[in-house]
Amino acid sequence: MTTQYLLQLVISGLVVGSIYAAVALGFTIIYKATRVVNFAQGEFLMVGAYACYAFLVQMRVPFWAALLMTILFAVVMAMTLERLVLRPMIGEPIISIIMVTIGLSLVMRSIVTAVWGNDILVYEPKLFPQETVSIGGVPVSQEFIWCFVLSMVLLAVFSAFFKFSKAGVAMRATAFNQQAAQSMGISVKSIFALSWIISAVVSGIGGVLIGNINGINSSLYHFGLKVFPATILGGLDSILGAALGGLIIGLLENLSDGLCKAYLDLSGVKEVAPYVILVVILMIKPYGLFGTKEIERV
Amino acid sequence: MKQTMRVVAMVAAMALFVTGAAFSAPAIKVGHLADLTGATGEVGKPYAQGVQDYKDWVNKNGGINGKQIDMPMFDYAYDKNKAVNQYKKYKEDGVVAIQGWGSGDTEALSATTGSDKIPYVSASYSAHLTDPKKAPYNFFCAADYSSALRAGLKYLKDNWKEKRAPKVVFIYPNVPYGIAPIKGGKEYAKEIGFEVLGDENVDLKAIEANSQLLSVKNKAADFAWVGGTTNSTAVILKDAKKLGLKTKFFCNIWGADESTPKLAGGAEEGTLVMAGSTLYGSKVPGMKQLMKITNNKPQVTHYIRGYVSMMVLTEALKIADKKGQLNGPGVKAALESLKNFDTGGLAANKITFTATDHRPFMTTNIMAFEKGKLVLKKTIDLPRKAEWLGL
Repeated sequence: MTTQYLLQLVISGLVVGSIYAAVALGFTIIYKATRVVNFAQGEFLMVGAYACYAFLVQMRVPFWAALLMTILFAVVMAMTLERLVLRPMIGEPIISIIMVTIGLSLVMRSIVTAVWGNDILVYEPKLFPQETVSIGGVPVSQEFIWCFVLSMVLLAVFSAFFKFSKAGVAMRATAFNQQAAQSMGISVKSIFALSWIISAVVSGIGGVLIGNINGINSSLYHFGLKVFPATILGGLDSILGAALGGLIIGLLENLSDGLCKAYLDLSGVKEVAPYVILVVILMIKPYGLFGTKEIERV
Repeated sequence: MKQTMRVVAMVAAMALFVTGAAFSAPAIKVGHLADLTGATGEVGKPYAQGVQDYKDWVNKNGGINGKQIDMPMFDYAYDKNKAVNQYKKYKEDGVVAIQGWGSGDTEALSATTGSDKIPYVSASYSAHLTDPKKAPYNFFCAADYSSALRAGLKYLKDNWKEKRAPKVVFIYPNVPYGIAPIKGGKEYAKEIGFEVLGDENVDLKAIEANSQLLSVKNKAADFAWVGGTTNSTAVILKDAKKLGLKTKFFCNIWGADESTPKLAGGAEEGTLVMAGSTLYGSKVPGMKQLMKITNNKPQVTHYIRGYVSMMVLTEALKIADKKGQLNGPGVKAALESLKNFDTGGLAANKITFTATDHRPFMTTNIMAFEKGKLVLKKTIDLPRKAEWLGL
């Protein structure tokens, strides 16, 4: 195996992993504040991709404006959903809220199909240059580099937000103990709304990035399920975990496949390896690599 | 006055009788399972539209010997369980045949349709559905996946100029559709002098295929068979271009179509497609009616295959009806009586089914992407070898 081959596998793994990380961030933000696993995360991503298509292609708005409008759309969508569907569920058992997110996912898929049909749509003009660039002698698509950069920026912004901003600290406090946070004057309802908004925005941007690579159709929601292991691996309530979980899964997919192919002539490892490693890591660290360990005194 | 009232009453009674008779004219019940919104919806939708459009045309033009075809479509969204449940409902409704769709559901229902004696015409072209001993009530109207792969290999070998053996690799998703033609294809590749390098798996939902294509590059494959669907094929072609592969790609029937250029952004140039029908607008006798039905709006090849599939079933329904055998076994016998049935050049060849062989034909249209358009390069007609039946 040559060094260049290994480098190619690593770079490919990192860029794909960075997209996983951005989408995993969406899961984490909601779980961190509300303790709810949002099973409509993939649909948030899908809707974001379609919204950008509507602005960019159907309304012929420039890309930067289309992206801003997509973000705005995600904010309005999340606020509406939170107010009408999720807020009435506060205080209900977690499993009921999860069921609501599953129902929500089906409704969102149906609406998207009704509005845009099921044909494969593509962004025209293309969002990013299609030519490849060389990194250490390895050819990499510019669209992947942009995805990597945007994902890393998102992760950095939200890490800083949770650490340094008032709202971020309030979200962490709410996640830690809702009653205590409320007694300190934090509006738990507003925090919940904020978490859904941020999650929808992050997923929407993820949808735009993935739609740019592979076209858009209603099966984009599958990506949410694909990213779920990355979220679990990193730890459901950790921003750093989401970032590292995504990158690790991306790297594992490429390295395991490439190495098994080169040395053992085994194919199809790419789809299986991340799950094997996930199980092994969860056996050692049941809350994921960076998840908060819950300790109960009995 | 009394007389007038009597006449009016008689006329009304006659009218009621006549219209009542018209309303109660028996419609022929046919089931239609389609994927419009599921994982294969992007190709399932045009195929289903082709099926329905042809049915509508038949109904508007005299039906089946005067009888209308009652064929409501059910979108099962590529969910096998939904397909099985809807199949049970169709069976209770007394359908005489079913227009089906995907590999998973067609294979899952194959034994059941056989025992229930309901002909099942689908778009799963797995070769093992062509052996009546194993799948007596399954039919389809394109070359099976294995035969299409063999045709592609033959075309490449016939055009191979170098003295060394050409090297071929197989790239496919690890699902029944992807795996189906590999065994038969590899055997044939070896038989005609290819060096078979091995396999690569690329998932249908993949967003990149770098590790797999680096492996193809390292092996210096001359040719690569792609057995995925349009999305994954576009990913493969784009990554191959990026990595500078010299390999020539040839795709299964669902692997590429008229939508590929906009997905692959030019990386599809030169890629071959094993098509089972002609292209929209081509100069064949059956195209005139198809273009009229579609108001000259171009359709993908999948639409044309759906259209042909219903055309063939319609012919079988006519034969069965004339014989007074409008039921499952009667329609099956009618399908098996088709000899060189002419689709007006819309399919790759004339269609023949027999009681011992459900391969419609052994012909594949080899098409290539040239400047973003599909162009017919050659029509390959393989012999109907007995040992290939079901493989």
